[in-house]
Amino acid sequence: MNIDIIFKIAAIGILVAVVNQVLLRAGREEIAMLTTLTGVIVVLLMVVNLINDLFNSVRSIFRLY
Amino acid sequence: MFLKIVSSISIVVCCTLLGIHMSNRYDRRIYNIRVLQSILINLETEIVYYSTLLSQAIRNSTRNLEGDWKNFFLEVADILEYKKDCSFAEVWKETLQGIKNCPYIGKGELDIMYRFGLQLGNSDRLSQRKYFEIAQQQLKTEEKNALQLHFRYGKMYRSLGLLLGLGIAIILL
Repeated sequence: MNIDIIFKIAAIGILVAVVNQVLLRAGREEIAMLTTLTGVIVVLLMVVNLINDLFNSVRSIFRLY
Repeated sequence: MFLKIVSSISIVVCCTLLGIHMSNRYDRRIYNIRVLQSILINLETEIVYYSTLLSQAIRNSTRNLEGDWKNFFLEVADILEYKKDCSFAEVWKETLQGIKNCPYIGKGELDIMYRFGLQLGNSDRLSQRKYFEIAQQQLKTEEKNALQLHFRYGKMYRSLGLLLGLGIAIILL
């Protein structure tokens, strides 16, 4: 498995946190909220394949076909 | 790998420049308001004390100044000189429409100038002076608002530009 994706997700998390703080300081709570949501969606899109793999593995391990 | 690094750096640099450009808009707006105040002070002297012809008064009062409002006033003076069949209010309105989309000029100043232009030349000197004073006061309020916006959003846009660039670079990497 590629370990790079973990670092990528961590970097996105840090960035989103900083952007969130900057926007909150400027008094734009709605946009801060939107950024957080965007970050979550981007990360979800990145890991959706991995989650699929995980479910497949679980099914195959416990023979839940 | 080399190509990736170069393109990421260019993305970050472009986004940072974009952020700086956005935050400079606030700077430039404050500058424009201050220039407008100087122009109005000069124009008041020209009209109330020297009684110069309006187009010439506008030209004299914008001398030695820069900025977007200077271009506006010069355009008004040009139209006043070459288009003799228009009233001043019509010329003023038309030219204001042209400057409406300038990103460095706020809606507040536009409204103030719109009202000011419609009253210019309609009454005696004493009331003219009062109109100038009112416009100056309103412009001062507008300047304060612009300063507040500058402090609030100027820094925000600067850091957001850099962070957005970093975000895009990380996602694409």
